[in-house]
Amino acid sequence: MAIVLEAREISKRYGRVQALDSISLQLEEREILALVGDNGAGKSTLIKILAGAVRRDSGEILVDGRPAQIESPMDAKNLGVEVVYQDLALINFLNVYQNLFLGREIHKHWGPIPVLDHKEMERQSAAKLEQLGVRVKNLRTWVSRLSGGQRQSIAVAKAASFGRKIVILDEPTAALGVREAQHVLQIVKELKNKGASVIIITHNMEHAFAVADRFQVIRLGAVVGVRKRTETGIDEIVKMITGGVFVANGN
Amino acid sequence: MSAAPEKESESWISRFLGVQGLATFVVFFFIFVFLSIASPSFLTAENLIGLLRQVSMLMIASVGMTFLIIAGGIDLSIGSSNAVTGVVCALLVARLGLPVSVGILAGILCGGALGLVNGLMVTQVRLPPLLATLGMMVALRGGAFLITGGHTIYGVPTAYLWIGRGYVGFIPVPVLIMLAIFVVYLFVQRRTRFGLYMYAIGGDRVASRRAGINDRLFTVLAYVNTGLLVGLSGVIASSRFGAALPNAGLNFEMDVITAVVIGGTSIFGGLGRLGGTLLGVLIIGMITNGMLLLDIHSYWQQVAKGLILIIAVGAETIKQKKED
Repeated sequence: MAIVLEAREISKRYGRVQALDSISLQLEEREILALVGDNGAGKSTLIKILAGAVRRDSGEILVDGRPAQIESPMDAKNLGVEVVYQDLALINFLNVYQNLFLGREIHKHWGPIPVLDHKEMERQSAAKLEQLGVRVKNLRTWVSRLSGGQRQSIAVAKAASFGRKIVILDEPTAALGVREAQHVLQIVKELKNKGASVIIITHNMEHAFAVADRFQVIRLGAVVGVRKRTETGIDEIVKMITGGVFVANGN
Repeated sequence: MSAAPEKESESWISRFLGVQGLATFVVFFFIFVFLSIASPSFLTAENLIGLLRQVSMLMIASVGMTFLIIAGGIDLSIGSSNAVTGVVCALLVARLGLPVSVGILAGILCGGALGLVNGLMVTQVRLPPLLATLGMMVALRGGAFLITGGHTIYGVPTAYLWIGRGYVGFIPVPVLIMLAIFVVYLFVQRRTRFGLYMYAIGGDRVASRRAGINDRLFTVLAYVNTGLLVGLSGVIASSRFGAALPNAGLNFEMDVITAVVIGGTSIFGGLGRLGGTLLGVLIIGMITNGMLLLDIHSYWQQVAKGLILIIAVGAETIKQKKED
């Protein structure tokens, strides 16, 4: 399998805290990689670096095997890397299609004047959401009026519809109820079927095992190990996350 | 956050006037009816056209301020820059004898330049908008007095008076300009990237940045846009008086901000419509006009306007707290 995104020996320091200590990661084409670890392990810092939102101190990022200059969110986007952040990235008082197309609006032309094409954006949004199985009645509704699950689904759809290759999801199910979480996980699988490669960060092992092909466990800013789902179980992953404390007590 | 039920669609009223549109319209309607009954001279063509001319400068500046406040900014310096731009324009045509059109253009561009300074202070030096523009408000007022030596500038050519005093048919020129600006900016707000990004940046700056919007650039543009429109209002003011006063536009910023806020634009950014601002401007205009007609002392106007601003912002703050 081709490797679409690779991080090589990334390090990042915040003052006296070594957030990431020479961490590496590989994401294969059309796979879902679960990035797991305890609070403060460095998951968020790592994906923010991959997304261009935080600058690394050292290390290399490769996209499709080529060294990539990712210094800003726009750089990452241009390389096809899209992130859905934990605190979403939707604007409450814009409607669904405005949010989906924000930053990439569709224009039509009245003579020489570029004019936002609301109808076309609404139409394409409906098609994209339909494809992923996201149900929203009215695309002219403010996203602040939608449920948590709908908002999360739209955020994922936004990343998916433009991230041509790589989508990074930070805790996509954290704030959701059981049914809504299942729906979002379904959308994540749908992304993979559509050809995307996905990194998902989650604390919920059940959710991770429901979708991930591989697991990468990090602790205290360093990689503990990488496992295929077919070769591991929840117990082993939890043990790796916690450093074996739970298992030691259990056995 | 609790999710309200999905509405079928935005009503035309909220599309045009914003979410508080109905409330603003009710206030507008009651004042209008009250004045029509209370004063026989209110509901006459002469008075209403005079009222529109009276509010035209207020409206032109309020259009810019609406965009700016939606984008999460504010500009307190517009009263002072109103004076500076009027003075600059009048000086160029009265003292240097430049053509009227050049003077008008220079006045407008001068406003834009002052807006640029505000925008750069806010985005590059990262001063809080309230303080940056408060500083500019004081400094520019001093500037207006320095340029003029404290005197009123007279002696503008007759051609210069047209933009402030002229008529096309029975409609005053400033009213035509106001209407043109309103229509153009309705389009800008609804149909252009600039209009959309004002909502995005004011609604959530971080999310906007993540979506790839250059939030600093568009914030600067919002200040420049306000400056240009204030420049135009300053030019119209000096033309209307037939002279440029260094103390023109006192309390102008308060009138403008009040009109924008009672028009339903959120002082916290992200929400608002130009249609609401138009109503807000007309409400302010009717209060001034009505108090004149009813022979109420002008000191009361200031009291009334101040109270209205407090009530409007207070109502919004309470509403936002409830929603959180």
